Amino acid sequence: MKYLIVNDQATLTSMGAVDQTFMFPQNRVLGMESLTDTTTHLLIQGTNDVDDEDTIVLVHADKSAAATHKVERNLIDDMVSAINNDSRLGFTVLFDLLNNVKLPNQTLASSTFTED
Amino acid sequence: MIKTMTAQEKELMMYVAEDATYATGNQAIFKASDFVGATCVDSTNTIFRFYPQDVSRMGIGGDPAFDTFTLTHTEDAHIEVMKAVASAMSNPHGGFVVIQDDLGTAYSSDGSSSGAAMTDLRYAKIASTGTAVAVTAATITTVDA
Repeated sequence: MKYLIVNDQATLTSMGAVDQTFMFPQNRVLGMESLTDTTTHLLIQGTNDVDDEDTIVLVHADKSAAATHKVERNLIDDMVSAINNDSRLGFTVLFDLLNNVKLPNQTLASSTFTED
Repeated sequence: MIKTMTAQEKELMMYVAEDATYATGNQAIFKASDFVGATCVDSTNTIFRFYPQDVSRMGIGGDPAFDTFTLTHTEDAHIEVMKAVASAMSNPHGGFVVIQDDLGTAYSSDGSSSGAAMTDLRYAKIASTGTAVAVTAATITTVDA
């Protein structure tokens, strides 16, 4: 089993509260869904409440614009690749605002994690 | 003819001890396959949640109460701690990993404490500052404890 990590805090001294930094197993991914023209949800089985879901919101360019019409579709490919990544490190960072790590088709700013 | 079970899952077991006293409830082994997730508690604590060892994971009659261990670490080092534990848990060959043991502050000649924290993990420095990362305490909460 490999693990996935997200961090939605951009400032080191702001870290440490709930709904910020999260590590979870690959097999707890429930699904993905389009939320708006500029956001896509990645749903995870709840870490603190297994019959609810934790929500990761990934921001992307406006898919209603002709120039970036395919951006969400490409971001979903990015997410699937990351989730299935057989990393030798044992983990894959989906995004990390502090260390400027993101998926290729993601907009890092305002991407968030929320625990239910 | 008596047959014995020889099959063995490649399970990864993680050992956590709160201190060197080894009092009842102060030690536990967590299975990587029971891992649910890890999140921040505050600026110096990260909690790792697992399905409970001694009751159904189905949570009949309500959500299951998780077994957990919480690592107290260098301030703001949550990501580095998570990465170290993830690397340990992901070993496909399984095995036994000491997440934290002893944490004694003084060597005891009777062998009750080595006077130091023992761990199989190597924490990377905080990437943005280069600050060394260490774990200074571990807290265990299990359903059965």
